[in-house]
Amino acid sequence: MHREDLDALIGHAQEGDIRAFEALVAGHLPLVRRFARAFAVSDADADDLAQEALVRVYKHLRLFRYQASFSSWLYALVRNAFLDAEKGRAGTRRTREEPLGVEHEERAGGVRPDDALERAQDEERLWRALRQVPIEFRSAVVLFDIEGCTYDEVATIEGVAVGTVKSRLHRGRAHLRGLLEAIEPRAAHSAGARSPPGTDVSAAPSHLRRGS
Amino acid sequence: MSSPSENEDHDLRARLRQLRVDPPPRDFGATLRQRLVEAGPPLPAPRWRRLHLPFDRAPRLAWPAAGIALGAAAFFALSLLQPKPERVAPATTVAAILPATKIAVVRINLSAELAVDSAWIRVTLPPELSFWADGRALPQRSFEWTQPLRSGDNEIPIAVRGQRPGRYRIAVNARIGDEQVQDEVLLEVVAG
Repeated sequence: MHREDLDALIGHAQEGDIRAFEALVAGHLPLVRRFARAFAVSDADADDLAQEALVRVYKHLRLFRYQASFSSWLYALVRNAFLDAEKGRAGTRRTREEPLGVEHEERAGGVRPDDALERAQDEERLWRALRQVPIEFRSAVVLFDIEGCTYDEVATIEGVAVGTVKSRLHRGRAHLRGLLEAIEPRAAHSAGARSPPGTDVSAAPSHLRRGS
Repeated sequence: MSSPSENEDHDLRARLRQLRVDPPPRDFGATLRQRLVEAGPPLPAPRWRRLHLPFDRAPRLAWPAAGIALGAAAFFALSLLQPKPERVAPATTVAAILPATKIAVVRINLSAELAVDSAWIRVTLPPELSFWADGRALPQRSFEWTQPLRSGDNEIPIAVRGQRPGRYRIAVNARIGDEQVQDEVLLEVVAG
């Protein structure tokens, strides 16, 4: 989208034009929805959380004054909305969340699933484990490792230094590995045991394609 | 040759990349529109008073009679979101000058037009400066806290001491709800 078109859409949306807002965020919806999935209590709640965050972006759209890129500003607001939602339900989270161990029990005793189902279960395990990574590390892992944002982009969105982003990534991945190791047979994800199904180099995040 | 932890990191990142799949549309757009309509138009922009750091004039220094501490006033206003490089002081402009043998009380002024119940604030010092309390340097490089802000000026005094001559930046971050501001205060420590 050209800068002039983007500015025009922002201007219209700031005046309450919902269609302009929808056009403005259309390209960001997949990321926002995936991002929400890491912060929702369950998959079923993810879209509700994403919509809640987008409504908050819309309500605060007049705060945007072109001092940052719109996408960074949008993701920063969305992230804050997710963090607030997570903190708000901190007291009830433990009882509502599905335990990680259930999946393990199903795998151990169930019929061997076909590849598609196995992949779906693998993704589901990852999302559920991600939801248990401390929130200060989680968004860095999602933005960098899933969405392919650069260190600088994550730093801008999170409002921290690049060094802090690297530290959060390191700790977030370590936490995630620990969670996964607790629920998966070691052989299922050890180095070289298998490639993730459907691996497509062309779909790699931009920072990986750049070789950083 | 990669270490086992590097391999594990690589494997984990490869698995995470697989999660980057567009979610099915379901009725996401329709529901979002309904919620946007119900939410009403965007809120008016808040009236944060935007003050500029007084870098274009001489630093405000006040030397107490006892000569133990000096006061430096550094002002910034809560403004709007995310890094604003245009608001960072030019490297050649110094907010305060203090002798290396003295303790400086840096008064950070958070100025807002509206009262705020809870603002998150963090002050970070470079290694060459130390926080000072109870007659000794503190090991912490950074402090963060939340506090209410009243309408108008909110001065936060911070005692610091320089280790050796040079120009150093004190980083100040503040966040109110979704708004975030980062700023720096440049101090010059001189011999003496």
